Amino acid sequence: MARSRERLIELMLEEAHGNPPPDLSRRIMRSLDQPVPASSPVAEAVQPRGAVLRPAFPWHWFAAAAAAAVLLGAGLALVFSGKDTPAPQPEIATPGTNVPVQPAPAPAPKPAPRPEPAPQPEPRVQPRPQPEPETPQPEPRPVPQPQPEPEPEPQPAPRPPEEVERPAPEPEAPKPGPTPEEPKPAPGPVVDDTPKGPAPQPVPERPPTEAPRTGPVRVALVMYQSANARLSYKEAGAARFTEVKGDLELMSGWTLSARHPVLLDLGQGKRAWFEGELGLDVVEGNPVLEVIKEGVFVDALGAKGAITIRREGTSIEVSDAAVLAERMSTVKDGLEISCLDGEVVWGESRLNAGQGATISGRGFKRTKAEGARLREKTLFKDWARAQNLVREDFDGRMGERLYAGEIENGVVIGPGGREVSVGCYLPQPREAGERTYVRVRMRVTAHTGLYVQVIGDDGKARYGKEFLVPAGQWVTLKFPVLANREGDNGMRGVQKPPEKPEPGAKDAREKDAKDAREKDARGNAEKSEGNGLLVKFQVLTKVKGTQIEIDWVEIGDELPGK
Amino acid sequence: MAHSRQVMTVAALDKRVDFEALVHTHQAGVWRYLRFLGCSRSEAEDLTQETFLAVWKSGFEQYSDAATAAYLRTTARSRFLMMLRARGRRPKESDLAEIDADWLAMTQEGEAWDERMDVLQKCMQPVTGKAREALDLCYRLGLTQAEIADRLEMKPEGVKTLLRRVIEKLRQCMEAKLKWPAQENA
Repeated sequence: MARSRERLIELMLEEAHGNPPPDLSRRIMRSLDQPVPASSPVAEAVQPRGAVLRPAFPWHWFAAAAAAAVLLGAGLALVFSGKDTPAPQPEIATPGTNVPVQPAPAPAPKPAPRPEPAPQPEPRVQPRPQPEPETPQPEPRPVPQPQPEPEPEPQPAPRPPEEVERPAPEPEAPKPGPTPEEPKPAPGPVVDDTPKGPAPQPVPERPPTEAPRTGPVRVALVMYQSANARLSYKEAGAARFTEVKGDLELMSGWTLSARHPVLLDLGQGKRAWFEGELGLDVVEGNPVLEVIKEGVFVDALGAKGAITIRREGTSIEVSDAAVLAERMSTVKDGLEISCLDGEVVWGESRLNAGQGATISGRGFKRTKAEGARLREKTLFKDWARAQNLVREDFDGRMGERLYAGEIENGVVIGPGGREVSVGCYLPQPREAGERTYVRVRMRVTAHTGLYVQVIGDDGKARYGKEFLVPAGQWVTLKFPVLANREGDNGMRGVQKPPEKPEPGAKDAREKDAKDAREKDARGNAEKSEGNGLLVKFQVLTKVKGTQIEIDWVEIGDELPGK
Repeated sequence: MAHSRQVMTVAALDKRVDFEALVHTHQAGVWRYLRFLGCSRSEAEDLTQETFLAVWKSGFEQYSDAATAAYLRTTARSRFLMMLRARGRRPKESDLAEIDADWLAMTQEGEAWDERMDVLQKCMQPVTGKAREALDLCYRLGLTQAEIADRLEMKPEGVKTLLRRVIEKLRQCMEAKLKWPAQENA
């Protein structure tokens, strides 16, 4: 027993160290319609025993049909043997002709048509000619009650993960612990310079407060659907889901269902990326998303207002943050919350960027610093994949990719007044397309102008934008890449060490502009036509005495609107 | 005819929705149980999937959560045994029954998994220094004892002893906090 307890503790230690059970729900549900792939090691291993799973192919029907065909063929052979009758008549297949079973009948003139074509079931089923009897291990019967096992559990069954009630309700503050990432301060404003392009029409601004609702109000518009998302909606009280077609406005009281992720525009800069089932509502002008199945990733960084995420009696308000909320399978009103940016507040408890926790009606539990591991969650990975996101979190594993700045507590720090304050090679080269944007979260110690730049692999394709950043606040800056090609944007950036010891920011900019003009004069041959590979990211400021801290940078593609 | 097909489709959909809820509720428990039996993470994933597939195809009807959990465990154990046998191993059913009984006893002791996790976190607070580092390297990064020894500048045997002692201490702490009945050390 002691050994078993220690085994249990080892499993719990794994989970306590950030390796929880995987969410297999989707995998299992998807596999219902298809056989277990033969490549599955377990499937392969178990298959020879002949008792793993009954194949989806209806063998008994096939066997019956094949037997009938053989009998029919035998009957035909008997009837027509030695006769000149040109062709068998279908009427011949009478019961009488089926009776004699010749062990080796003469081949029939034409094989009788089989009800099923030649057996071409799934490859994993093929090797098994017929279902074998079950293995010695008794296969459990469909009805659970009469199990012969010594485990008829009493009704208040202590199912370990499924237990809901817990006696200690107080919400936990984030545990300090040895965290690889410092909890980030609350984020500041977002400076978004990305033109929205042809993307979806924005949801109109809502008044800050609303009179009591008299009917459904618009909550969201669909910005983007993954392939085969099959987005559908169900109005309150309706029994069936209806497919969402065109630019349908999604109203409060509706339930949405999607097999694959869908991006919703919630208005005022707020977005939600979800799959599964999601309920929509509006409270005081802010959208409320009820997680019914799977989860939702909301991005409200720099957006006005808040988004409420709810499940049963649990709800959190997300403002100026990016949060992934997934339905907990073990707690009825529980959500797994991953705070990717900003801060989530529940009562006195806070969840900072890089932290994950579970939340139920009693507040945050099991708050953990997860760092970049939060981005391994499936829904967020789908989001990142859809945008071809390349992201650098400056988490200390950069090695020689970082050529300017120093990493401390999950941020990279660089002083102003240098040629390059912070500079790094991207985790992987990234193409620049029409919708490509750069987004960076940073803080400066003194109010300053700075230049954010990405550079192509040939060193000539340079894109950048100048920003004025307030001191002491975390801000998120964003700009479209191709629209800010150097030369076109009147900037040259800072590419070479200053000739003079202290050129000053203004002089430097003048010099840069001059360089840019010279470059333009050399013709457009040197200019990148776009779509080159971006390899470097830099932040430059000539202002001495300031310090730049960068939390992360990401380069992605705006998702196309419908 | 069309109507009956429609009714059948709705019934099938309902069954699927119910089954999805069942998967959501029980999959973590089945996975943990398989890990407790001795599966690796990936084996536990595969067998969890096969367990639910078998249940889906068996025309299972849900009577109560407790009965469902027991049924799922039985199915999962059956899959686990088949996997071992297919690999040429001959596990003793009595051993497995003993492990199974231990699991049942521990999971019937009244605490939810989350509560036990909280207790474990509290028990881990006094664990510091090399012991904490070793735990971190072993259970967060999944390093082998040799790799941990290399990082901590210890001998592999030392790491093994260190981890064994830490886990033993954690067990004693949890037994005290959760009021598990005291056990003689195996």
